[in-house]
Amino acid sequence: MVFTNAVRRALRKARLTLAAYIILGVLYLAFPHYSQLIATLMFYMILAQAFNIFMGMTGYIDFGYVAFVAMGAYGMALAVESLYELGWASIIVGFLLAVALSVALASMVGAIALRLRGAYFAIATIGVNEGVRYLIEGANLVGGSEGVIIVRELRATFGRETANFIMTGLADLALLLIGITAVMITALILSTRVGYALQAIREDEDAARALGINVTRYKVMAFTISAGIGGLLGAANWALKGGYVEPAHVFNIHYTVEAIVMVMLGGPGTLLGPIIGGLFYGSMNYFLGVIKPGLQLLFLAPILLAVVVALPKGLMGYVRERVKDPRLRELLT
Amino acid sequence: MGMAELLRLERVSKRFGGIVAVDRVSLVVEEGESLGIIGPNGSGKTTLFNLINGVYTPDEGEIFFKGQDITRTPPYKRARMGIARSFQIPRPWGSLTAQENVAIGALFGARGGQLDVDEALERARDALRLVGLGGKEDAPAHSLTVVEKKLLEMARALAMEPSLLLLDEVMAGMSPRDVDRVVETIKRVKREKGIAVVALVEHLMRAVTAFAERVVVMHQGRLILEGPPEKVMKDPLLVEVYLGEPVEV
Ligand SMILES: Nc1ncnc2c1ncn2[C@@H]1O[C@H](COP(=O)(O)OP(=O)(O)O)[C@@H](O)[C@H]1O
Ligand SMILES: [Mg+2]
Repeated sequence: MVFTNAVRRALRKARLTLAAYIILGVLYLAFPHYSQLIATLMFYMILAQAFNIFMGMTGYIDFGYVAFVAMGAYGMALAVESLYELGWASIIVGFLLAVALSVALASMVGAIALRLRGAYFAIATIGVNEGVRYLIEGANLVGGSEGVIIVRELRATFGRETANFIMTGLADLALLLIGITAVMITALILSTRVGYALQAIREDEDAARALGINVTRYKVMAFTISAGIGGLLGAANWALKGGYVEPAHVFNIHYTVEAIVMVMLGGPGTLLGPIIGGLFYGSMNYFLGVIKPGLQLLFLAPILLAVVVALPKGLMGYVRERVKDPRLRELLT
Repeated sequence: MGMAELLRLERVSKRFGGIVAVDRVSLVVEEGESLGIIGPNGSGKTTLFNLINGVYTPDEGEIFFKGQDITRTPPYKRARMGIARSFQIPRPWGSLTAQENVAIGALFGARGGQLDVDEALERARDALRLVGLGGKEDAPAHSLTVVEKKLLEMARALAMEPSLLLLDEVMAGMSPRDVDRVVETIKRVKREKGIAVVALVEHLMRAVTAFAERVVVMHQGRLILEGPPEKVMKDPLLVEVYLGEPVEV
């Protein structure tokens, strides 16, 4: 009963965000020429959504976040590399392993780092990403700095044609489903006591404790959910779509910075915010990259600065403070 | 009058560096009792609350609640056991609405886990009306005045359905009308729900006499006087404690 009520509330809140994904899916099929632009947009939207579940809702900034996405990419790559003879099952196992690895890393990091507050937490997490990367490269684990290449395995099992489909259409379909999953998880969090607990923690953690909220439990919960979705994203967008995983790429802190920018831009802790942030940043990134690669970075800093000064709660934070009608507020969650 | 013991402090102390903020305090609060704790600024009242609700662990001494040793129990568990508090400087969750603030009290307090979000929001509406904030449901908490924030904290604590309500200077800075309403509310929750209320008061002696059945006086971390309000207010020791400070009787 309680749960179905929550699902109903979540679906009402998620109408616009779900519509965004469905429209992108339709455009993908209607304009194959632009399919890679659309897939890029979905990648950024999901990255922002996954990051938002922890950073946006609790206010803690995890500078090592990309390590969870990397864990997912490794999970998929290792599953396909060692189980490719099982065919489709190896890909399913890949997604499961992706979630398992990213959640495992998040539990370990969370158990220690989530005891720290504010800036101390942020500093501790920077070390995590670099630490895991140098562990893999230095100790020459799972392919060392070469990484893991699975293109050959995919072609051997599925044939060239199907392998190519897996690395384009199927990977993109997986992105769409992960995006929708992220929307529903966020909307459910926002429709239950979990969301209230996280927002209370963000606004005043000591008051949250005094009001009966098990602060550590909810922080760990948000941290691992955020990591798990990141893991799925890495599995689909990097391992499956790219056909390889390379430490220099998947541990690049650049992605974490992009996630921060998108969430801040769109509105931390909201449902629509990361979608707007992802769409905006993703298309800017795409078009500037087409015109002159590398130019994106030049635009990033001033945009972020302007947003933080003019819209400290992001675009959706600004909008929501001005909308009073409860039904409209629900739609613009 | 509740006769059963609700809270017991046994020779509880808390030091900050060289300062003994709370010095071997022993105190019993009975179920449904209204207790006023008065004392000048810096006498250790807020620290005492922080020890009772678990923000600090005492350096020595023990605390029992409903017969259980809670000396080292974390604050969130104490809240669920039935200890609710307000903060001297209000700490609402600013970007949440007044109603959401109070609903969180209902969702995580003594009945934590039993209520659906919709039910909690409904209860929040009642609690806001009870403290005189009806109509402010949708206002973001940061937009409220200091007095409204204090009333909000009281509603939030009441929504937790506690058996012990700790109010830290909740009436300071309020108009006589607001003070009267808070006193009425305290008396009402005591009468209707049997909640024990402990209120910290620095200056507003009129309010203490109006609601408290018993008053204790704190000075330099120690409890130095105890008794019915009329008696304590006339005690020469009280004037000495407040030496040079205005006492409004
Ligand atoms: N967190 C703290 N760190 C250091 N000293 C503190 C702290 N909290 C309170 N104190 C000191 O303890 C004493 C009692 O303070 P407090 O409990 O706030 O008194 P009251 O609430 O009666 O005004 C004061 O001397 C105060 O400066
Ligand atoms: Mg005080």
